[in-house]
Amino acid sequence: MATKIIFKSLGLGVFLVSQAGAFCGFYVAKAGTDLFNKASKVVLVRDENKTVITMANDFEGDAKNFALVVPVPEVLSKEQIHVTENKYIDHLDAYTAPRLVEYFDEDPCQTIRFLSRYTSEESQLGASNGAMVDAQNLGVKIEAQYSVEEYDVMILSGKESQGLLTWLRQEGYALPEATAPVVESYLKQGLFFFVAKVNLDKMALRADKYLRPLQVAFESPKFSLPVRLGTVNSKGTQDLFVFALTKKGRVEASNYRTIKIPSGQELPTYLKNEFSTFYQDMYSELVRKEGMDKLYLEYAWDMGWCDPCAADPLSKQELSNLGVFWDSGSGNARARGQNVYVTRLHARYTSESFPADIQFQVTPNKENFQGRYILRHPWTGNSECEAQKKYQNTLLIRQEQEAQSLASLTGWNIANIRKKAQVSEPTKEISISTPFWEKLWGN
Amino acid sequence: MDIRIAQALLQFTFLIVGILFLDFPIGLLEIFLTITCSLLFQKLWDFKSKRSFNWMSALPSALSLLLLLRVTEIWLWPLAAAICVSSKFILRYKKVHIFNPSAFTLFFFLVLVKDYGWVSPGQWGQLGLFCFVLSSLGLFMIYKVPTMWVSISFISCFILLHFSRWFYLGDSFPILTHQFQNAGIWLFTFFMISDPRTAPLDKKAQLVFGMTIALFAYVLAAHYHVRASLFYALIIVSLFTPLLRKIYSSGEFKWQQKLFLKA
Repeated sequence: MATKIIFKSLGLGVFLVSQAGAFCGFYVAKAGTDLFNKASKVVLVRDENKTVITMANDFEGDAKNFALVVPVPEVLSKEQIHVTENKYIDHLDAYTAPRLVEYFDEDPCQTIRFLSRYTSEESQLGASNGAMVDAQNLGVKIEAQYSVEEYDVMILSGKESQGLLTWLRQEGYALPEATAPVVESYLKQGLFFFVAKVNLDKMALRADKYLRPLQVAFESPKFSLPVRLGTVNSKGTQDLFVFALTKKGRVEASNYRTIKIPSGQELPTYLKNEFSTFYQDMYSELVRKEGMDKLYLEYAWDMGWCDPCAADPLSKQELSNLGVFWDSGSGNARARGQNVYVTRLHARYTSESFPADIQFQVTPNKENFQGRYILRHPWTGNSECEAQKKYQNTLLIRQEQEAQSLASLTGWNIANIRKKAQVSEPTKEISISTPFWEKLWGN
Repeated sequence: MDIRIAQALLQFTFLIVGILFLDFPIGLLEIFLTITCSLLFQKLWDFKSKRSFNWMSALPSALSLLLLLRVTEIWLWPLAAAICVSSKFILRYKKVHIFNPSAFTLFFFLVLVKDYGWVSPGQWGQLGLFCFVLSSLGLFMIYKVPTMWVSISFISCFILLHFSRWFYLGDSFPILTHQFQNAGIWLFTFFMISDPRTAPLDKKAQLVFGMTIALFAYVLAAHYHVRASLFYALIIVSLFTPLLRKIYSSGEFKWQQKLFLKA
């Protein structure tokens, strides 16, 4: 067992048994991805009372230091537990990621030609992330114990939290003391604890060193995400991404507000190379303005298509690997998944802003929504005509508006934006809604 | 001013707050369709049953729908209005309608046809101050109606049940307060269950009525994880209103008995 114990506050109660400092640098920056540190990624598949939860972890430390503790509504059989591949979640992440769209202005002197195309930056936001005797004495019951691929899994029930916590600590699960009331509450609600550790011998046989996502399937009216174990002892904020796949439509929280992220704004074209920074800062600014007590809708779409596509829709086979248990399309495994609606929710929260576990509900709302930002490149050709002059004027106004949108979305300094976007400050003729005091007193 | 006009004005204010500050997916077209269709159907039914046009009955129900119901298609608003008003004239027992019309409409969309409508209990977020203002206004409103004990017994019992659960589970205090910062509960308490036409009039009957709704709503939410449990509870318990009226006989309420707010 590791000598020093550290509690890591991932949304679902992922606990680390680790060397101090080990997790400061485990989010390796990949170009434009993994934007949000300390993020949990969860895929929820839900229809009627049937739920499949996939818990991703981007744990890159020593596998022996990994442990997962999650409350579950029933004693799961071995068939209800599964291990899937990270690539399916990565694909879902890419498919649903907020996207940048690019348009090119047409030659103002040539009114018929129309050209537009888009690029998308897959921002992939994130988420990127001898005991038996004692057990009896401590009132802990090991309801079931399985070896599932590279994981050793146990389902536990307990008479009271202290016994369970003591036992878990003996076993090397680093639940801090502050979790005791939460564990007690879950036990009283009749929940069981799903605990998993990596089986090092089996892990050694695997070619890749990454831990794969664990999945559990169960039938219960309960449709919620137990975030309290993860928040109870954490001082900082946490990012959580929920990807919900349903047959019926959009998923929303029923005990917190779910609101849409801003979308559809035209922004300065220099953002093409800074989209990741833009989205991070925009999200932070949004949370600062709106608060951490909400879930933010980043994407809601029928899985059969996309427009524009940040990545191809998931195939039937990929969806099935993520736990979609109903018939999601034709027999062809490569065919796009249909009859599946995806909702991507992003939350940044603390124990104060999310005191209770997040409760979800599936609604029949199939209205599509995506986080989409537009770059509109000006026409740079050499045509000369009356329309060209008019175009230049409107272009100046547009570019100033783009700069202002960007400043308002991200909280960035407008002067810096203008400089980077090479937009001159608005003159009187370009009537832009700048407050009158901006020029007052030599500002 | 007739108390139903005051009620409608308050509901309209809440709706505006929801649209302006809480992104309620309601626009002018939804408001126009729901209100005009409600009034139209009220007029038709009143004409059929040879009564004078009772527009004051249709307006608060229409506003309740706009505050609570969410539908997938715009054309469902006129349908919802039709169901809401018609339920008062069709689902009757001894010449009195059984269900609160807007609660029945929600029940219709949530249970009878599941794929077209829903309720968003999370839409209000946590608005402690707003809840306080809302409940104060609500208290003032129900003080004037003869069914105030329904609201009072419901909310007392509902808080007590949640407090007991919270105490038993040993949860943190914010978990308890979190759920009562939801304006939906207070709207339900003061603007829906106190409807004198569908709640019993006798004080004891009102206490039983309110407490039973609280109990059903609590059990549905805490043990069966039903999301819009308040409305289900109201519909279930409303089925027993005729029985309650029989046990605690106190006659039928008529708006003509007049309830005026001092202007």
